Amino acid sequence: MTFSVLAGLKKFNIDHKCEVKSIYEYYAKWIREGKLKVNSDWNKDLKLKFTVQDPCQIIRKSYGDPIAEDLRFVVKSIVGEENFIDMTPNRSNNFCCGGGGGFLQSGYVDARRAYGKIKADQILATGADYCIAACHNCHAQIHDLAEVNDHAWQTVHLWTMICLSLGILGPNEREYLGDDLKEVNVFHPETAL
Amino acid sequence: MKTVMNSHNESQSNNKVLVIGGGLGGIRTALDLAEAGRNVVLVEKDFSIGGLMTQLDRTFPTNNCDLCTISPYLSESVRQLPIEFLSMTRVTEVEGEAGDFTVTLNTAPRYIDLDKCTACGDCYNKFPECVRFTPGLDHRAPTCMRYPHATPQAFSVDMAKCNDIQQVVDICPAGAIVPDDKGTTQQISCGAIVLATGAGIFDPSGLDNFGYKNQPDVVTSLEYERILSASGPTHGYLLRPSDNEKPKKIAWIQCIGSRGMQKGASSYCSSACCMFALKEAIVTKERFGEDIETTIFFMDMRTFGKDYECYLERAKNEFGIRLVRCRPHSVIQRPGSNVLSISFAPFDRSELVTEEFDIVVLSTGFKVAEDVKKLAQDMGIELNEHNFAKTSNFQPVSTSRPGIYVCGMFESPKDIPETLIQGSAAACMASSNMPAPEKAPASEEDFPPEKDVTGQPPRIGVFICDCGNNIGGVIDVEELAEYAGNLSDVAVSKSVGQGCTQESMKEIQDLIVSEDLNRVVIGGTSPRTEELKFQDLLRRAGLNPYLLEIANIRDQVAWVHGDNPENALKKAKSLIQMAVCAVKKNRPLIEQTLPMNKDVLVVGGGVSGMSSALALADQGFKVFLVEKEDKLGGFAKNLRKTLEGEDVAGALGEMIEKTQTHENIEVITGANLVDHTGKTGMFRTGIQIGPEKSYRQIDHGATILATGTQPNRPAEYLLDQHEAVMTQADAGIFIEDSPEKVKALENIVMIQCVGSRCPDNPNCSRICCQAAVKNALHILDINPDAQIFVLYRDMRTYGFQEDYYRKAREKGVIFIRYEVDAPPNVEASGDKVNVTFVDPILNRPLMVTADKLLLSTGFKVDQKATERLARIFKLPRTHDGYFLEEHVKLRPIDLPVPGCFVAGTAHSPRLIRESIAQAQAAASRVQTILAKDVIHLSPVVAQVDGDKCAACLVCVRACPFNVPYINADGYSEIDPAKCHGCGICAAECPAKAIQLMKFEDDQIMAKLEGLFERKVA
Amino acid sequence: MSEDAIKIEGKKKKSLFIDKVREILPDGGNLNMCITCGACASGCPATGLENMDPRKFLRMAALGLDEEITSTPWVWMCTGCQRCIYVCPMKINIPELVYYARQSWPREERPKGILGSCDMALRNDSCSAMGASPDDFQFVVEDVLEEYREAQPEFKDMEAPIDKAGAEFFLNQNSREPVTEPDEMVPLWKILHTVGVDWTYGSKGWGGENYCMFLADDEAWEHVTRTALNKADELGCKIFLNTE
Repeated sequence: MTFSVLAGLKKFNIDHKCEVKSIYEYYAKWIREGKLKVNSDWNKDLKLKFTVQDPCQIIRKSYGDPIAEDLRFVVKSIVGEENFIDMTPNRSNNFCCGGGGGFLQSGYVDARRAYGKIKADQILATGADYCIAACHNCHAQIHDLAEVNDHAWQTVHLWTMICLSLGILGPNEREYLGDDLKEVNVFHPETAL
Repeated sequence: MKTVMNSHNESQSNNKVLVIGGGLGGIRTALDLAEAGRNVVLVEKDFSIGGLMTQLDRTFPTNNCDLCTISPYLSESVRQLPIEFLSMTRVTEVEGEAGDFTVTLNTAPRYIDLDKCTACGDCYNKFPECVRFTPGLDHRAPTCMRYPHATPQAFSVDMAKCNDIQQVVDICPAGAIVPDDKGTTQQISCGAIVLATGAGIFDPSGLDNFGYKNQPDVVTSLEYERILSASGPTHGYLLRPSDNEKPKKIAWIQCIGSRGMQKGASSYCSSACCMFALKEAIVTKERFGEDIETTIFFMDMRTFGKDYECYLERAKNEFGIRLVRCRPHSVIQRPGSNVLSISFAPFDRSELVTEEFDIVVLSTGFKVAEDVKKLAQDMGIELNEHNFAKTSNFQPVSTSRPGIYVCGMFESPKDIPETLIQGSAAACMASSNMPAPEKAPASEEDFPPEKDVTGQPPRIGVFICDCGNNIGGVIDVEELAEYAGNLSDVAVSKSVGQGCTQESMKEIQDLIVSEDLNRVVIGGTSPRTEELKFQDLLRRAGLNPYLLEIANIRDQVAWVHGDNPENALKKAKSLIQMAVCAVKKNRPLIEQTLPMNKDVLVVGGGVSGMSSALALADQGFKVFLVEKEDKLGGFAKNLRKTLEGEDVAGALGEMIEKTQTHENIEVITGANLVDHTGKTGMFRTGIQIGPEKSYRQIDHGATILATGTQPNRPAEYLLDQHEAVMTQADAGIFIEDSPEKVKALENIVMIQCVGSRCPDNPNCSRICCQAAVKNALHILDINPDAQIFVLYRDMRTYGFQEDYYRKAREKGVIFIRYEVDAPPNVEASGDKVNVTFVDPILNRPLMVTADKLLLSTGFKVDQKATERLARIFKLPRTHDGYFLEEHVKLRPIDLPVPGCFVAGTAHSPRLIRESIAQAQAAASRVQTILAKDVIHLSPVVAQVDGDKCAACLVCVRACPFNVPYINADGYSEIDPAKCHGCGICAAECPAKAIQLMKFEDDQIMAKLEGLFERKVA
Repeated sequence: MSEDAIKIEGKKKKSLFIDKVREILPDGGNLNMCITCGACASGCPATGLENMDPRKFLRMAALGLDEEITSTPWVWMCTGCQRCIYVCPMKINIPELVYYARQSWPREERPKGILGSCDMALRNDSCSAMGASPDDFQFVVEDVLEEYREAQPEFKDMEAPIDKAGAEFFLNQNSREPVTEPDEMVPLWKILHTVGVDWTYGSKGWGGENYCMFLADDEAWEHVTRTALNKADELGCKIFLNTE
């Protein structure tokens, strides 16, 4: 979305007053300012390993390495620095997951998974239990890649993990968490459906 | 040379040249000027001179050790020449104009008195953090590198890092540390300035895809040179930076920071990187094992220099260097391992191949450093779009500001031979508008009287060099010295470290005096490079310079038997013993002198020959310019415009006019050389002139061969059989003269490397890629709708030519590669030709019906003509027929016959700009030898014993120089002034009536006796 | 080398595909500048799919093989990730060439999934690829919000406003959440509530995805972008905040 907006504004000369930003920048800002009091204590003993996907649209194609640093700052703050493992390559030189550009909807499933093999291998090489994908296309593709790789990892949204670390993630907001996190830090467990 | 630290304004003369930059180019300029009798101030911003080359390990194409090859230069520069050297000095202001500049120089404080410092190292050992001397390599800080022979041989102190200054001062036994050094600012006046400021190197830190910043095993080429170098951090062992393991697989990636449009890259080609990558790969295999796999990832392999294509072939075929035509996207270090993985797309199929490497070398290109750009701007020099000094093709080393010249990298990216050529050219141009030097440079002063050793029993000093790791890494030099000490008549035997450093030289000199030695043996490097230096040392110590023997234990022991140290030491002992025995028989020899003839013969009236002639004539030398054709102009007569659009015909016309009317030039056209005798300062050359072949002899002191080469015209691709087919040179004229016909063209095909880079003519013709681009752009200027296909093997648009290659693509010219074993096919089709070829990316054939087919046919040596010339001048040629210079790296203009120089395409294929630079350089080299008023004749000549001579004529027939003749007394006479000392007559004489001085029979026999004596023992 | 030779004769063909694209792009997308170095293909995950790679695709365009490049399905397998441009020595905009190759397909022949999603977005002002109307969206948001306010009293004051004039942030939301997994909207709201952010959705242009760009439908892409931005401006929001 970010790229389509930025590129669209330029391509079509759309007059606008508001500034187009990515929420990653704000997550990082709010954590730095103490407005989001996240911590990684929940993972101290669990030691679940996390990696993060750098969405091409937001990193390479829009804001570059600085926002990739913000993204890492957020992830490390919520899962613990020692539990974060980067893929290589990463940031602006990251590999596309293969979900973008409409590939997910284009119907070429085998080609898409062949494309995504690089991404799957990258994630497998980190040995991470979770891959955070803060982009819907990435999320869907990486989730699918996990399916065809014996569910070697879980694919989660960033906001899910932020709320988990804040202790405000309810039982019904855990669709993408694995069994290892279903019961961790549950907010109002009684509301489970 | 004197090094000045706190020099005050001395008496100045406009006969002085300021050379800015103490790298190889600047040193060459300074030496040429000084040898020609000019006063020179050489300023260097760094702590010592030598520039980039001192940081390299070995240089292509000889693959010799760099410090070994450069050290004669540095040492030459420390002899008594009128060069004032200021290190740590920058130019801050330039006022005035050509002939009368006033320059402000700012010397930074070194905190060390150069006159007192002996480089003993006490300060460095005690306070390493305060003393700026890093003989190794800080992996990420290449600017901290120093080298063992540094000139000046002195430390410098970083006072900011000294906690207790007094302690540092007290540690110095020489009292050389000056804590209150404030540096100096001074003004000098000079007549001309040469910018030899060199190049900066692209910093790949910003390229995250190659991971240079955080993957320690990704290094720049300069860092890799340091890893290979004996004076580097790993002491010459090839070790992977991350874990000091020996690497098995090494990759090079070319064009880092060159040929690019983004991330700080320069758009031009850096010209030298293909060759240095090949060299690094070869040296890796040669020195560290055949089993190391070496892969070079490249875009175009640009081996366009003299004989470089053959170097490439050797790299591939003899050394098994693997070349992959692909630019990798990224270097990826797998998490938790130090394996570097590279994916690449083969040229001919859509597929990714991934391989793993232990070290990846980024072949980083050259760029103009920021401080150099600022200096040039402050000086009012016009720069090109890439911040290099702007010059024209016809004045290649002259900047936009009169009186200021440029050489080396700051003119354009280039390799060492081209830098040296420009260094000499700049020397020539800088002195062009100056008054003649007042007096010939002094050759001998302050030497002690020669000691008479006649009748003295031998007292021999033996000095063994370790040559850095070169010798010391293979054999135990201490044991060798001890062994020599026990030989008879040896008074002193000692290992002296690196014998050719100033420090060791001084030690040897002092020992000769204090121990009253009368013979000296040096066990070390090749006499070819070092003999003069050690002879000079003997003379300073009061000995005749011929009381010296050099045992070459570097080349003949360490280099060839490095894998067998035990027997290597045995052989070294034999060589030393032979030298000791031989030196006992050495006799003092006396050099004779004759007056110098200062006229110059220039052979060849093309652009090169005329440029040399004009440069010399302008400085008052009488020049005979001999041309075999009826008209001057040479190959350039066929050219209309340069790639940059300059008018060749106009400039050539002006040049011919100037040459023909110059009062100091005698042009002799229609002339053929027939004979040549003599030596430097007293040559005599016979020529036949005109159809009547009238014979004339010319006496001259020096010769420049600017005989050019020949346009190639192979019978390929229907050339000379079909009207649509022409050479690029023909096309240049066609396009210029027939624009109407050009407008009617629809499809044009060009084929590169026709008759070049093939078994028959193995090297690259260098000029063709730019010629194709030039003609393509010219056609499109006239006819923008024309469709042009260029079929090439490697596009070799080196340097700034790359911008024109880009422009051609921009305008729609399509460049398609062909493989040497699958050349295009050409068939006539009416007045057109059908050209069929395969596009390697699509792996599909294309057929273009072309209105014109332009063939890049390049050059090919006229074997008969050059062979004849080579015979007359006794010159060697390369295997493909070009004249072979004295040293392909360091003496690119000097021919092996002293007094004889080469310029232009007689040397190798080159452009007008490069030919003119070399012509001016040859003129400079000539001036260095003609500056003296007398000729020193080497005493190494053949002498005839008349009593033994039977006048059998064997020597008369054997001498390649036609020197011996039977005199009035009936025996053979050899004029010592003409004898070259080759020794052939001495070997042939059946009566043993001829002896070659310095190589007399008793000396040779003594050597052999020495050898067999050891065997018996 | 199975195919027949590509024949080039006579006058240069006017309006080759690559030339048309060059005219549209700033600096012609540098499309003519290729030195066939292969850096793009070396780093492209789509290399090898459909026997194609970025270098080959560009080469085919340069040689005028318009029919082939405008018909290969590979253009739908390039995700436009720009990893090629990132290292290309000539900074060649191959993804834009792919974009226009997509555009050259008859609209109805473009992949159904993308086409359908774009058409959905054009159905109403939501610009949602799942076709949810502004009313549906409003209903789901209010319903979910109400449920959570009650069930989790700590968030009883939490808001998820739509069309709140003067809010600092204008947010969008991928349609997947309101349509198929509404609970997934809540963590974002909670974060915004915890920080105390003054934000709003728009009744127009709230859809956080843009398949019309993937479809290479300029007009529709512009419509989607314009709708969202206009709404944000109309509400006087300072920041158009993308959640992905």
